[in-house]
Amino acid sequence: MRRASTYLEQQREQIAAKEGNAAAKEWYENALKQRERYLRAVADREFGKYADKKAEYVAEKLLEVIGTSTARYEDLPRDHSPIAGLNRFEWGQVLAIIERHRDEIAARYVERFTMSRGAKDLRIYLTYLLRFPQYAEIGKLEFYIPRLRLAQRNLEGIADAIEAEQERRKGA
Amino acid sequence: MNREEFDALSREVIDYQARLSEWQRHGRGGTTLGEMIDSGALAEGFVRLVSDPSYEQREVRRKLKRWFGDPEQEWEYSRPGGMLYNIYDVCINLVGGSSEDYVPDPLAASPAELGARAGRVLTERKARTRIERLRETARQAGKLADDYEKRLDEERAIRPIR
Repeated sequence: MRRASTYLEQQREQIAAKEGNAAAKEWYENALKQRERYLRAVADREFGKYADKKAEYVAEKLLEVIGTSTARYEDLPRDHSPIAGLNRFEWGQVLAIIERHRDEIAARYVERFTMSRGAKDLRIYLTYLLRFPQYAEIGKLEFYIPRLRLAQRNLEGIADAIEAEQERRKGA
Repeated sequence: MNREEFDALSREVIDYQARLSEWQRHGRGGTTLGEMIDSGALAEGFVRLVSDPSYEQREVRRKLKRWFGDPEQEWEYSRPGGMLYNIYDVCINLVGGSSEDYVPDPLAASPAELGARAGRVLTERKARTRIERLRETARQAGKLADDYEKRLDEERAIRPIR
């Protein structure tokens, strides 16, 4: 909101410099009215969508901020609600939605590492490279080895963790 | 047009296509692709190409550069090089990335956390397939690293660096 009004003020100053203060004032008032109308329309649409989904609405808004700014999930408090309109139970629901969202994103990354076209290509090319280890440039092997080991560690770590989680779910 | 008529027409059209193609070739010289395939020259050429060690060497180096980057050309493909670090590709080496580099939230987590999160969502059957594929790729990467280490040791034994 502040950024938009700053932008409008900048525009008003430019118009005032070109066409005078009266024209700038008229333009600014119209622009404010238009902005009000737009914000009301957005609020109406969101109300229609989230009227009976309080936790979903807050979670959606927080995910939007985390996705587009330097804020991180760790910045959200666990023990109390930072929003006056939400009690602790409702805040718990918000956190649960956010956690589920994070789990789904993690699963999407696992899909990318295993089932995507790129992952299939990686397996094909590793098979190819394994047939001809003698053709790699000797001077670059020290560069490739740590990268291969890192990939191996990461892949095994993810596989172990998925397995452990599946075991835990079976046991629960 | 009944079926017999259609088949007859189809045969005539195919014959004409062949004649037309031949006429074009004789009018302009050269060899048609069909003739090359029929003679086996194309297949022989491919076999010759792929059995050439310099071709294999070029391909191996190109693939290594594409997937793992190049120490001499760090700017290529993506920082710090290679598709395994490309956020729009199989970015497995970005998992557990340091806070100095920008990595999206799920990748900033350790492999254990990422896997645990995914494990909560995946069904048992899906998880089984994913685990198999992750282990298979890990095994391949490990084997390649072993081979390269072995080769490096052999090279060092032959020409010790003083």
